[in-house]
Amino acid sequence: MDERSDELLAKSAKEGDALAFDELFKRYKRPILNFIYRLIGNKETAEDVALEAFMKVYENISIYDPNKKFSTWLYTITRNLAKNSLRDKKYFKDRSIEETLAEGDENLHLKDVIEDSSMRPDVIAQDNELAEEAQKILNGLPEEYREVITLCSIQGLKYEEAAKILGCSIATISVRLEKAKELFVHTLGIDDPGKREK
Amino acid sequence: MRQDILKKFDMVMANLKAIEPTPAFEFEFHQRLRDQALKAREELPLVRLFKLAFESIRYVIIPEMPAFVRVAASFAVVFSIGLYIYGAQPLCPISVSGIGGVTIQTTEGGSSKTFMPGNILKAGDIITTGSGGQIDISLPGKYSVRIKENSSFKIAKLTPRLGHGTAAFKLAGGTALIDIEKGFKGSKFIIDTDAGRAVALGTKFSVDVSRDKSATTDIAVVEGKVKVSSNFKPKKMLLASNTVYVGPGQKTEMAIGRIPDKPDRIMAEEWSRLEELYRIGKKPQVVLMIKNTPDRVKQLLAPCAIYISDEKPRDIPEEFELAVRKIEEALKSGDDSKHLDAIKLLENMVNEHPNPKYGPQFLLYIGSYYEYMERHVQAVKAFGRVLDEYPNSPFASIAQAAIGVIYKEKIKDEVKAGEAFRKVLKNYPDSLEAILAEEELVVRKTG
Repeated sequence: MDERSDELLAKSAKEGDALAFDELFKRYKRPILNFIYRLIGNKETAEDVALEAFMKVYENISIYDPNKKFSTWLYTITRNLAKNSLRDKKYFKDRSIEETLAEGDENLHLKDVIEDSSMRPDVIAQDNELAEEAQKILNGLPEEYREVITLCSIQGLKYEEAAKILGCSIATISVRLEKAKELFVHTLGIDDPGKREK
Repeated sequence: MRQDILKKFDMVMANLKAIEPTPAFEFEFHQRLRDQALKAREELPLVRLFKLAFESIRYVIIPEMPAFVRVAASFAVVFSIGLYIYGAQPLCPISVSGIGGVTIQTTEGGSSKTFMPGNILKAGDIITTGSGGQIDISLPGKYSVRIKENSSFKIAKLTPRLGHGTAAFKLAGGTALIDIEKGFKGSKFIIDTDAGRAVALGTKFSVDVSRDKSATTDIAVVEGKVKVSSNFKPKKMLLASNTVYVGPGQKTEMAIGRIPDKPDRIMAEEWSRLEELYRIGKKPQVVLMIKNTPDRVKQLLAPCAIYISDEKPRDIPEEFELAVRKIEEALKSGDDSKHLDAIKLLENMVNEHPNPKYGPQFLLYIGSYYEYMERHVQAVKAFGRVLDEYPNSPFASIAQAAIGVIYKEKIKDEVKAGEAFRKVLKNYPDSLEAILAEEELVVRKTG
């Protein structure tokens, strides 16, 4: 296992060290693939876009500034490519197989889990159904909400880094994330406890 | 209440099950990296040339000098650039792709590194492959070498092309497949073993060296000619020579203390192994339009298209063009009998011109075409031919899985479908189709 920081590795890759680039790929292939998948909701296209992103980084590594965080740069490139692919999708509707959940759908597993305070994280991490339901709800949210939820809630990035990737202020991120969460739980039908009790 | 929900939301989201990259994803990444490395390597001399020219201009043209000095200087620049182009062609091959355990021991400090696409190899480097390991090295446009598992391959000597270049290698044990391209004309390609030496004279060939003391060396030639000489020299009075020329379709064997055998015909079963010679180095010129993903079979039966590069390979027979015209006619008229005529033409072509390079792909295409015409039995037959005639082809697993899919979905013969999927798992356990077969068989058991 290579102990070097991302930035050091990127610097070596810049100097032509192919092994360093491979290590970066190993570190980021999962997060990047999942980031794209959460944004566009289609596994196959996500792999295509992820490949595109890593190749773009490889081709442009010579202009990378090692004083800046590597992950921010990688995520920014990836986000732009994912957005392009979403735009293409609008023209080629048949390529899109994403499903969404309509407001008010009943019997959601995810809803129970969020309401049940005893559910353990390791149980959640094994649950395919849960991940798919969450994805269906994400698919129905506006793009900018999907972005903040994916970066901050799912991937656990700091607001500061998310702000750099999305090109806005930290305050904007915080407000947007709050709204996004509201809409998410609202779609699940658990936003209004009073109504539920009736 | 609200805060609790949002907190729980964060916890759930942070622990959602992530998706995993498929094997095809990583495969494709390394493939693309390799293409990039090759491209960069091809560009390199030109970029360096520009830099060199630029530096020369800075030193020569800017100072105020008498005209004749400037003229002489310009000549010097032009001459040195010319010399550069001629002499400084890339010399060192690079590692292109590899699988399994491959180590490269470099001369600089004797350190070892694991294989990466794009490693530049220098004289003195030793490549060692373990069990299941394999590596392709290439000097683009010049030659490609595939080093098979359990081999030890040393880059002995590389000299530049000024006059005659040489690329000399030492195979201490194992197998190497060699493909020499047109761009290498005039240079020498040598493979030494403990038993003797093989000099390529424009060619595709393979060298096998046994790991025992006798260093028995087998050399089989597919195209062109190879000059084979043993290190052992017989006494003159025996009237035997230690050198033989091995032509296309021939093989020879030699060992320590033994002169090479008289060249003999390559046996049928050895051909299947030599097919591989057509798969190293170059980009394919006939390609089935399917992506390397686990749903390859679905893509094939969609049906798929076949692509022939603009620069049509010379071993694609004339009949092919006729067949293409028939297919176009049939597509226009939508007439089934015309479609069947077109497939028949293609089948005849494959029968009359068996070709390990393109045969499997044409047969797959024929099968896919029959399937499109709803002739399921004939489709199965065409895929079956891939298995019978080219069992070692990288396309064989697709054919085997396609048979399973047709039996299951179209002919509705569950027994035969199961049989076909089991064969995929048994014969091609590492193929992408094994994933599909496994799924099918699991469903069958539980369902």
